Order: sequence, then structure tokens, then C-alpha cells
Amino acid sequence: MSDSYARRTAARLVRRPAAVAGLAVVGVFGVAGLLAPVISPYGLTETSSEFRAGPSPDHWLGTDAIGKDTLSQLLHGIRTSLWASLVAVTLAVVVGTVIGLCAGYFGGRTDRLLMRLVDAVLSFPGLLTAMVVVGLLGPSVLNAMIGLSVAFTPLFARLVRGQALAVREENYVKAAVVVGCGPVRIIRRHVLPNVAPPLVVQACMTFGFALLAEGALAFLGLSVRPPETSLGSMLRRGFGSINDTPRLVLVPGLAITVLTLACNTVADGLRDAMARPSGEGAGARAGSGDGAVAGLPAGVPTEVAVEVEGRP
Amino acid sequence: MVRVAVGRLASAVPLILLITLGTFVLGQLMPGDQARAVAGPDARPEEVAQVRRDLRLDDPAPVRYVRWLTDAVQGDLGVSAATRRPVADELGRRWPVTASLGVAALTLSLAIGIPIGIAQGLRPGSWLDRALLALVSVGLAAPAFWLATLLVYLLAVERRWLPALGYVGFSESPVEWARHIFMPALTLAVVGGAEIARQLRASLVDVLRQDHIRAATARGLHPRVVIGKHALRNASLPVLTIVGLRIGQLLAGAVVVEEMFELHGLGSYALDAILNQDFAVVQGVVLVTAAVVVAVNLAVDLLYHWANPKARPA
Repeated sequence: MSDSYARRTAARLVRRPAAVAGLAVVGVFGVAGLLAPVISPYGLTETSSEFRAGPSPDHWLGTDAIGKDTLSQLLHGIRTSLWASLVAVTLAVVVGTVIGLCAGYFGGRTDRLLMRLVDAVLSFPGLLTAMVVVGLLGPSVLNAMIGLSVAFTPLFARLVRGQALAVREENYVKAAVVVGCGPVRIIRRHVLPNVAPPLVVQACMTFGFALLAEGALAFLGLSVRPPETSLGSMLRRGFGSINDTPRLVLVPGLAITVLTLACNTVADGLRDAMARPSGEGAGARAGSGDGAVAGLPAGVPTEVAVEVEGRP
Repeated sequence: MVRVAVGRLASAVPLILLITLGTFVLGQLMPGDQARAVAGPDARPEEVAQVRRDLRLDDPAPVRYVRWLTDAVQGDLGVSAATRRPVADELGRRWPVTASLGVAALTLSLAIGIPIGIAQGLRPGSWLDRALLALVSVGLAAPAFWLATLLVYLLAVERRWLPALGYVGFSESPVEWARHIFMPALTLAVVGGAEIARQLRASLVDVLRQDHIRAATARGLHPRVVIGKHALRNASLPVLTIVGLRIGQLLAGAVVVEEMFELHGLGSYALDAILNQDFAVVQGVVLVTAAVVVAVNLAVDLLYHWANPKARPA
């Protein structure tokens, strides 16, 4: 991804009000999560004598069933959820890129073996893959991140492999081989820059799904251990007192929804901004064939999109 | 068609084998002692040793995998460590709950997604399209466990219209079944409906721009015929793929929803097994899920070939 390309994409992105709003929301949540230990009015384990108190000057969002300040819990929850999703997606991007490059660039038996494995994981529902991995490794945030990245890696491996295969056939790559460039140089200079744009879009889309999936794992008790908190585990605790204090469920649920919505909006905006200008306009979402991920519902494997659009 | 089916099945078998093998390898990494898990926490060392001999856990891993596989083919999936009951029996007892949840959720998501997708796709860019798009985006972003709590609060706590927990079999009382299954199914149907609407909108917009639609309109056909007969049929093919994917996702969603509504289906069985590190059960649920996913993919493929003449082999 060259600088001028990135700049042009950024310029197109900021012309989309929805994407800008999404970016702003993600930014606010990001700062809130980053600064959670500093700006939280109370500590993570600090309890007061007021149980299930309503919003007050002391507790802006009230307190929960054991007297913990909801705002402080929320800020720490945002921090954990964002961090876990970020690590899971980054891990998946790195491992997926390596697998995809190996398969696409070297081809042959390596390709067949790696893609078999990738397809096996991909055929399994992502959240269930993560649950099984966490179940077998034991519940913790770290294992939840590992489980999620195992579920996401195939998406990136498939995407990168497809791009690598396409680039390998380009004349300038063949020329580079003739001139005597080694595989590392070709991958770094020619393959990766071509892979980067769709990879960034896919990573953004996956991030929204990662937030939901980490929330589900935490809700089921498969992620953070107390006293650590995440938005999902907060909601779980609130579920017990839904009869008298629905606020305890409303607050973290709203936070996950708004954050995921913002991430999805940014991903959509980025995808449209990266598409060639011919694909712009109201119909651009229809999957006019620009880029591998155009017109894709969030969380759908890229391979499926290709099948959806280009089915023989 | 038959050739497609046979080809697909032939590639499905190694896929299922690979998935069970992967789970088995992961299971080897699982902390804790399987024999102790089966024997129970209070078991004396000699009892644990007895269990280890009975289950032949000291055999090398490849031998145990092959033995699990040969037993599985004969319908024996081992014994749950937590309940001491045969896994296959328990799966057989629980699958109707999850199946009826899945059918209800899928029906509801089609009922939500198809009208929204059509309304959006016919007039892209209109205020209705934008409003529904916002709704669909929220539907895609709202986590199931949150939707479920909201539904419980609104329909079971605030107004006591529906029971908050439990399950009644369809054959016992269809009305009670519907009352119990509605909230869990709706929870799962929101994401599904949003995905279906999104895909249907996209493909409808695409199809309506094509020449044969313009030609049909130019020939003076009634818009209802153009849309109903020419556009929707083509636009529904990608939706079919989404529906196929949804069925796999429903199994994952069932874990969350069954836990919340206390339905004793495959999802809650899987969750209990995962929390208890009950390896035989995890392996059994994985096998069933893989089989369902493969069967659904096969069905979607065959439907595709049936609905789309261009996909038929010459």
C-alpha cells in the first residue's frame, strides 16, 4: 500500500459521514479503554455499601449487586473487550498471512495441505471453534484470544492466498524472478502491497465480529476470570438481577452494540473507499466485483463471497 | 446432480475426519487427567487406575484415535465423564430441542429478512432503504446474549406474556412449544434476518440493473411479474448460501441461547462439556456439528444446481 494510495483512501473515507461517525465512536471507546485505570472513579475491586443504587453524583451509572461502581466496571470492560479483540485479530492476520503466502506463493503440495486444514476450520462455525479451543485449553482471556484467532485465521489465509496466486502470474513478478529476485524480496515488494488493502478491510470486519464473539465467550464464563471484567462478563452478572435492575444489563449491552456497530460502519466505509471509483455510489454495496470482500455480510468467509458472486 | 452429490460426499468424509482429528489432537493438550475426570474427584488412586485400564488411556494417542473412530462409526461415542451416560444416547435425547429451535429461528429469520431485503432492494437510496439499513446494521451488531436479556425483560418480566425459561416438546403441546421457543428463536433470528436482508438487498440491486430485467420491463410485463418471476429468482441464489451458513451459525448461537433459556439441547450439552472438560462429549458434539454442516452444504449445493441451470454440469 503506497503512501499516496493510503492518502487517497483516507480522503475518500472522511467524505463519508457514517464512516467518520463510526471512527469517532471507535476513537472515544479506544481512549476510554486505554485510560480506564486512570479515569475510572473507583478501582476494579472497590465496593461501596450501596447495592444496586441508581445513578447519582457519586456513581454516575449506579452500582451493581455487590456495590461495585458500574461506570468503572464499564470502562475496564471496554478495555478488556477491545484488547482481547485486537490481539485475536492481529494474531489471525499474522498467522493467516504467513499461511496464505506460503500456500499461494509456493503452490503445489504445500498449497493443497494448508488449504485442506484451512477449509476444515472454515467449515466449522467460528464461535463454536473458539469455544471448543477455549474448552480444551481452559477458560482465560489468553485462551479466548487464541480460540478466536484460530477461528479467524482461515479467513485471512484464504484471502492472502488468492491475492498471492493472482500476483504470481503478473508479468512484473515474472520479470523480477528472471532478474534474480528471491522469494522474500518478491513477497515483500510485490505480493504484500497488493494484499494489504483487502486485508485491512477484512481485519476491520473481523474486529466487529471479534467483539461480539469475545462478549459471548465472556458471557458463558469462557474468557475473563474475576475480578477482571469484560463487557460480556458484566452482562452475565447483570442477567442475574434483571428482575429489579435491568440497567445492569442495558449498559454493557448497549456498549457492545454501539462499539460493534461503529466498527462495522468503519469497515464498510473503508471497503467502499478502497473500491475503484467506478464501484462508488449507492449500488457499490451490491458487490460489483471490486475487491474480494465487496458486498459481503460481516463475518462471511471471503471464499463464500467469491462463490456468491462468481458462481459458474 | 447425482455426480455432484457423490463428488461432494467423497470430499466431505476427509473433511469430517480432519475435524475430529484436530479436536482429538487439541484434546491431548487439554490440562487434567481424563481418567480422574471420569472416576470423579473423590476416587481412590486404584479406582482411577481401574478407569484408566477400562478406557485403555495408556495406549498411544494414534491407537486411541483409531479406536474412537471405529467405535464412532458403529454409533458408540463413549461415555460422558460428568454424567456417566453414553454420549450417543444423550445426543439422541437432546437433538430434537436444538433442531426445533433451529427450524423456528430459521423460519423467523426468513420472515424478517426477506420483506426487509425486498423493500430495500427495490428502491436503493430511498429513505425507506436508509431507515431499514440502519435497522439491519443494529441487528448485525447487537449481541444475541443482550437481545435475549432484553426480550426476557420486556416479554417475561415487565409483561408476563411468555415463560422466561424451559422447553415443552412440540408433540406434547404445540401451543406451549411455540410460547417457549419464541424468545430463544427470535434472539437467534435477528442476526440471521439482518444477514439475509443485507444479502438480498445487494443481489436484488445487482439483478435489477441487468439487461434481461430491462428487456422484460420494456416488453411491458407487469412489475410484479418482472420482480417476482425474473428478479427475485436470480437474487435468491446468494441468499441460499447465506441460509446455509446460518444453519452452522445457529448451532453456535444455540450454545448461548440454550444456556440463557435453560433449554436442554445440544448447545447446553456442549457448554457443560466444555466447562467440565468432558472430552468424550466435546468430541461427540464436534462430530455432530461437522456432520450437520457438511450435510447442509451438500443440500445447498444441490439446491443451487436445481435452481440455477448455469451451474449444472454440461
